[in-house]
Amino acid sequence: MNPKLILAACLLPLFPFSLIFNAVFAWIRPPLARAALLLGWPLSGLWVLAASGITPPDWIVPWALATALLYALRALTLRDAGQWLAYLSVSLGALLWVQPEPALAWAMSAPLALLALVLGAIVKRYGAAFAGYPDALAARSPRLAGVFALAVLAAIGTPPLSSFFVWLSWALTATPGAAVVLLVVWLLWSWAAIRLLQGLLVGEALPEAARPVDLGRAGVWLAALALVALLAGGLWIAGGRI
Amino acid sequence: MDALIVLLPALPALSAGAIQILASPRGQCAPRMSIGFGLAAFVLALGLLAATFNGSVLAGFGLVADPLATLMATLISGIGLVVRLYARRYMAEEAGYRRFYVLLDLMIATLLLMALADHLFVLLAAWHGVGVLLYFLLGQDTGSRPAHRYALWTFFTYRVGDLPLVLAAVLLYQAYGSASLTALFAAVDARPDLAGPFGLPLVDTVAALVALSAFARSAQFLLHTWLPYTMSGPTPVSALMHAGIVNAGGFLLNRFAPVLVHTSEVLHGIFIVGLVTAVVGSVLMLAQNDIKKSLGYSTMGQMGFMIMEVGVGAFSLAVYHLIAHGFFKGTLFLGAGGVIGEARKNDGVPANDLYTFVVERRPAPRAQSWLVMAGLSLVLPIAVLVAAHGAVEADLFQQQGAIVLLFFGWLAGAQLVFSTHRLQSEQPWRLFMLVLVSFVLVVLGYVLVSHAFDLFLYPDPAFRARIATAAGIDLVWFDLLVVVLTAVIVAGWVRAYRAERDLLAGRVRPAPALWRDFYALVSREFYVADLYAGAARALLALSGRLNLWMRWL
Repeated sequence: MNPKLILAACLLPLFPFSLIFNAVFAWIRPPLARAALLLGWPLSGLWVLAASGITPPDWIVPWALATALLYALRALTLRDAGQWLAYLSVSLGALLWVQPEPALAWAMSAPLALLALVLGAIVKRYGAAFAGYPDALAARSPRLAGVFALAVLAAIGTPPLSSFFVWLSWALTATPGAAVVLLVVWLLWSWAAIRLLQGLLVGEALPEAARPVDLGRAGVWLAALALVALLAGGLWIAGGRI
Repeated sequence: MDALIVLLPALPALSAGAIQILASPRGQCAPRMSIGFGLAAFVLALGLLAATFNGSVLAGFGLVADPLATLMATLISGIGLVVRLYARRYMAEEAGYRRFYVLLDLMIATLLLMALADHLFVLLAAWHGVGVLLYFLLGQDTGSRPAHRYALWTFFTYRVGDLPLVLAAVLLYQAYGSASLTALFAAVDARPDLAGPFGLPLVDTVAALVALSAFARSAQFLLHTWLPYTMSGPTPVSALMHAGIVNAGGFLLNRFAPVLVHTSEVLHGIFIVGLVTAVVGSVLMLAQNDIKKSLGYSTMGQMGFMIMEVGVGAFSLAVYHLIAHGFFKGTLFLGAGGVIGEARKNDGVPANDLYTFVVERRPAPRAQSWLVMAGLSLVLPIAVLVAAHGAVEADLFQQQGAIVLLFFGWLAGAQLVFSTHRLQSEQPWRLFMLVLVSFVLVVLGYVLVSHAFDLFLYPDPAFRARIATAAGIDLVWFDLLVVVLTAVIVAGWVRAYRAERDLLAGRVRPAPALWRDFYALVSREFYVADLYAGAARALLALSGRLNLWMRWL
């Protein structure tokens, strides 16, 4: 196998090369660094692919779909929101083999970077972000909970945000068989996302539960601006690319 | 002028944004703004509907205001306005009052977008968005885990239903190279015989996928489990869901009528699914002891009838049905609070005949001559239905779909008259005549309105004829079907008559073992939810095992 193709398979992660990305992501803790990694990793993969001039062989798309399916299935039982984000990044990064375009990589990675920052804000206040801990986030930190819910929705391809049109673009360019697998992956990620949201947001807050300072207005406005940018990105993809 | 069409979904969307930014979390500002924008959207929808009556169709920005779209938009914005008004006081003491109005306005904006969509991507985005917003509306109480559990069922079923529509869009886009619905339908009409994936006929495949999507949205059998269990959400959301959202399947099938008209087999499949859903929904409704679940299954049965109407080619009748059902079920849900309040004040149960007959299921001790009444029951409804349909359209009996609907109308009418004669009354003939007059009025209204809908939604007579032809089946099979169904129904009536005669005579017959098994099956709701829960548990176990094997990397 061509070494440049192997490098691309590490950066647009195909199983088992995806283990490298997961290990790096787990090792890096600062939210900003994680956001940069989520943005930079797949873009580097696309750059390697473009610079090497390799035409991906036919068997790579089925491999990419299998990787995406594997991580979507595994995400169903994850409780650590950070690890969940890493798996989502692997799954989406692998799917970039279906249509390896930088615009789509940006549109898909930007919501992941936003989610990394939001998770950082939760960890800063509660010490961790697991399904079940902190529970009842909606009652304890309503603003943070709202921004977290929107960021998760943006990451899994909810309309009219950019990632939705990325999924649509992949489906439109795939063969019918590949499109079916792609849609199953999308379904599993939707399920995993709601399980994660329920684990973190839902529940009655006990009177003795900690209630740290909620996200400030400036933070909410920044998140809203990011979502508006993702919306604009989605419309741009829908209008110009699909 | 065409920009007006964008304004319709934009008004509630703007309202949502303005409420989130300007309104206080608990004050009356949120409902006032929402109602104001909602009223403006309703007036605009009425204006667009009036314009379509005059033959004007606005289009632009991936949207179209054709008769179907404006009719649906008027319904959505009208019901949305009523729900907003109702929720103003009903939700005032709930947590997340402002959030509720933001989500409600976003939901109505998305529904309007769906109704007006003339572009595949707009339709897909709106179709998908409805499921997401419904999840958050049903989970309005963030402290309630059961509410969120059942909201997840709804979300998952809707996502399952989204996927066939995406796949249908992919096939259409790849085959015809356009995402405009108007252009696609013209292309399908010009070239309906293209081959699709795996050698299947493209149009049949697309139609089947669209139908699957509609089935999930309209709670058809095997995709219905979410509907009876989603009663933990706020009452205004239940009203919106049962009056508007669940009807979207009928809308989608009407929107894709230009594709479905090329697919006889898919229409027959739709009829069978609708029929099974109507029967199963009605049976499960009767077996419930929880009034809310009973209402949920009632909606399921009604959705079955609506889908069945599409299957027999009565597309416009399905639209009429969804509007009528929307008003009826919306009134029931919004009236629920008043009924509960009244019951708390006055718990005296009315001991009249109607109550003992309908609620306690106790037959009247004295019945009229059953032979005469049974004759009237069978003959009168069919005479009324035939006369009403014949008066509206002379060549009606050339259409099998109309005959099937007449058949079901006869069943309903016969059941009504059959039930009436068992009521104890001082003046049984007077009561009977009143029921008959009401029945005649309902049938005439129904027939006239449904034909008016047909002319409004599908003005091209050639297209209407093509729909009737596509929905038709071989005459021998058709006759056989009618005979078998009639035999089953009459056998049911005879059995009900015998059971009540035995009850009056004080005779007790042990229920046959098969009957007891059937009752057990019904009481467990055919184990459908259990099967799904088992499959979900197996998938989660597999996921956990994979993570263990791979050491969570």
